[in-house]
Amino acid sequence: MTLLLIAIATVYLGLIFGAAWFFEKRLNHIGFKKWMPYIYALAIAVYCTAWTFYGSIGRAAESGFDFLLIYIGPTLALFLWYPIARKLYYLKVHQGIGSLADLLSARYGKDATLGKLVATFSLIGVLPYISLQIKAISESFTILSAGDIPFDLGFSLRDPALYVTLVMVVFTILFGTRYVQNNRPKAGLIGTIAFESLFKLIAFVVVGIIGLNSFLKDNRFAAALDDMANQTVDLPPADWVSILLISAFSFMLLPRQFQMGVVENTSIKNIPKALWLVPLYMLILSLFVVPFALMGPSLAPGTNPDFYLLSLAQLTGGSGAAALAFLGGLSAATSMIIVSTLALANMFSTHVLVPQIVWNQEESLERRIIGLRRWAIVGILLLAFLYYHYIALNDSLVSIGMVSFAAISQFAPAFLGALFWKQAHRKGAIASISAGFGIWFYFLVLPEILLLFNAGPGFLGALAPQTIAAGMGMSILSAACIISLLLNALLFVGISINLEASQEEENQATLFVDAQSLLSKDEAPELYKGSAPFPDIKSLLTNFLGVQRTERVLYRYATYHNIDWDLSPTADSRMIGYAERLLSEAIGPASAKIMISSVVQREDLSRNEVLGILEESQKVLKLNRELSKRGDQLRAASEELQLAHDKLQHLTDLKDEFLYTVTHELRTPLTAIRTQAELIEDDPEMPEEDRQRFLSNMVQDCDRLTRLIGNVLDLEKFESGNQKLSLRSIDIGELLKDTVKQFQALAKKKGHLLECEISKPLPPTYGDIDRLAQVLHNLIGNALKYADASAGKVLVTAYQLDQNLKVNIQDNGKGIPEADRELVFDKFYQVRNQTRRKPTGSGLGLAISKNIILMHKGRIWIEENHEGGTRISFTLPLYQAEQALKETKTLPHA
Amino acid sequence: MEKLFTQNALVVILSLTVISPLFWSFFEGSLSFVIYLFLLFIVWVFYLYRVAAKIEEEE
Repeated sequence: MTLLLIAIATVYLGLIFGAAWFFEKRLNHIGFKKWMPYIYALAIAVYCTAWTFYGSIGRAAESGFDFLLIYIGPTLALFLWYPIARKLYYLKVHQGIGSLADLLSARYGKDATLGKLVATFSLIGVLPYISLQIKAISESFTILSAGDIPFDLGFSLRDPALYVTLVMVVFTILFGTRYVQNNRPKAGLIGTIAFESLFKLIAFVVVGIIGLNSFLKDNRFAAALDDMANQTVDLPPADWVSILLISAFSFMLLPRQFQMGVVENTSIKNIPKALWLVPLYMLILSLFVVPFALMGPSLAPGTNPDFYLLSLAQLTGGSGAAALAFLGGLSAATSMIIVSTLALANMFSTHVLVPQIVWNQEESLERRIIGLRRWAIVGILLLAFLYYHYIALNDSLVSIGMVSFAAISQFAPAFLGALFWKQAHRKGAIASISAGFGIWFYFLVLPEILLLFNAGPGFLGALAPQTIAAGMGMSILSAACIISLLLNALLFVGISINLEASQEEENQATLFVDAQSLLSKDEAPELYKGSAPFPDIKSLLTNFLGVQRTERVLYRYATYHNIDWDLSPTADSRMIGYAERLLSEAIGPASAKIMISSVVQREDLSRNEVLGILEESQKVLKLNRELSKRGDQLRAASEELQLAHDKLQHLTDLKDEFLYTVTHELRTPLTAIRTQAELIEDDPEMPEEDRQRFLSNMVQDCDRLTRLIGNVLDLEKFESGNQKLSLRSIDIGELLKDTVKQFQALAKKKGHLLECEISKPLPPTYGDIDRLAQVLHNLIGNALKYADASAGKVLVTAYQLDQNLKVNIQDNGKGIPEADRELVFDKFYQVRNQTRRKPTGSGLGLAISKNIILMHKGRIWIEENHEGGTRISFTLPLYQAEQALKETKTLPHA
Repeated sequence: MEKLFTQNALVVILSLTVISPLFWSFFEGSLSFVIYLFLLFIVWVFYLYRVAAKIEEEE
């Protein structure tokens, strides 16, 4: 088993490297962007670490339902998260925010002390949490190997966690420190963390289903449920408050959460999906906690409750399930280690290490900044490993996690004040964070340190944390949380309302609190006046960002603002603000401010000037929105105009085509008449028989001309709406029979069979009998024309269909191709269609018939005929009175 | 949008109330309380899903 574990752990770690390579180049890939909201939500699920994976079962086994509070806190925080996350996104983009330390430092007047304080306290607070993950990896190896190979836990080359930690160092350096800007999203990182979140969820669910399936067959499970049903709900109210509060704050403020939720966020559109996907994730992940917690004591007595999942997976699902549970735990631990280490290294190097080298040196620093971050990663993981070795080995996973949660919550008052309270003061923030951390350290860390030196709680006498907590009637964790957060908030508010902020802090406060209205456009307002020689700014940027990136960003800026640096070699306040933001992304807001100040002649703005700029900025924003709205309206109007133009063009084309066809049709018989008249004129001796033949042809051509002109005039009347119907009650059945009778002679002459079938008498309706007779003449005439030449057959049928009369005229000719069935009702269709034999006729018959039927509010169309040939059908609505026909709307053409 | 978040804040207060120690005595045992919490969790997820849909529609 041990070798198998080592093998699968190695393969898994290889897999996450592969996933990172895969995702690295795909940040701007369309497919990646499409899935980004889901990837973002899964990445935020880095909240669920090895503590969740293993430790929540241990917590449930020991304390009951309160493990759920660790998920309920963040879920309730998500109800209010959207406006905060949106504001943080704007600040990240426009203020170059890459960490919580950047945020608080930038907000409180770009204060270096505050940045250092947040970075250092975050490191101290989260270090135990990273060590918790190392402990989880190490112990999961030990439990599953069951002594096959003796592992030494702690600071030993025989501890497997050491090797996993080293791999994490390599991974974090490779995929987390590629760019000097620490707020730039890293696709390899976010993609891998999302992959790991998905993997641990699947692993937990599969192992959970296998386990539950086995538990349900075990009588002890029912007994355990009975016991639980009889246990009273018991949790000190102070624990309830503190767990909910610190888990909600930690969900927002833990370095890894800030890294994934803010720094790695690629778009504001990713946020809404995370609002429900993250709680859903936590809900699924907590579904199987209770069954495992209930069965752990029965099935795996003597096992550390934190690792019931592993032991029970092995018992219920064998080695496969155990290996899957192990890998799920490994993925939970590694994702947390990677992101937390990266976030802490960014913070610590930017606010504590980088200032030591950048404030006094002028050499190229881009590589040195990245190098410092890498050393910070190594240092942090080394410290975490030492903590694990010396302190964490004896504590439960949950207790270590809670200690970190309580530490990070100390930033909450300053964080919320930074975003929503303009009066929040730098000194208030520094005092509150320091005091909160002091109490946290005293209550939750000092006792552990004293234990290392074999000094018990009695060492501090009546001031011992345990004594104070007991006096308050609550756990030491709750006492620490409540006292520290209360004092923290009181100091923050008390100091802030009694102090006046500097102009710069006030400016930053306005930008942060009104971020939604001031920063939601492309460019933030610049709240100071100043100028600098452009070459100095360029040189400064080159120093920190490197030559290539500096050239690229300056070119982009110049193109966007239409600036030629050769012609205007002075950088204005807007350019300086842009440069400061770029520097801030690399070295933090405080250092960026100092570096920029070294080359800029800055003038302080009066309060009125600041207000003027902000007012102007809001007006520009409003104007931009209005312009954008107008632009949309203009675009819509332009599209409508284009459509109308296309329609008119189409109508003009139709008219031209119609005129061309009509003149062509008129010229053919006219040419024939002229030719024959000339022949008669030129040859007075022409035999009488020939003369009569020519004269007869001329008369026929004149008839054809008359018919064509009559049809054109008819059509013009229909299309212009001048044609009136002479309505009266008609019997369509009789009309059909009469018309068919009239065509029998022609049918006989052609050798065709013409039949009319009307099964039962048709009800009368209102219509113009002459026009309907014209339709029937056109349709039956066409049918006889196109019926099979040797054994032609035309069948006319009519019947009532609902509130309509339906008439079909069917022939057994070649039929009409499906693609042409709509077109045959167009004017001169048969003339235009040159591939077919040109029949006799004007080519207007069907167009006129269609108009007549439409005027009767009916439909006409070519129907599918499976027997071959053509079947033209039309319907006429049944009207009881003439008025009904006049009031009915025209049906769309079939 | 402001209305939506005021409404959300009220839901948070209501949710905290119905899971607070004031309500624990209504449950005879831990099991029924855990089931109640899971049911509430489902309601929260569904509500947040609706909130997200509204935000996506408005943005």
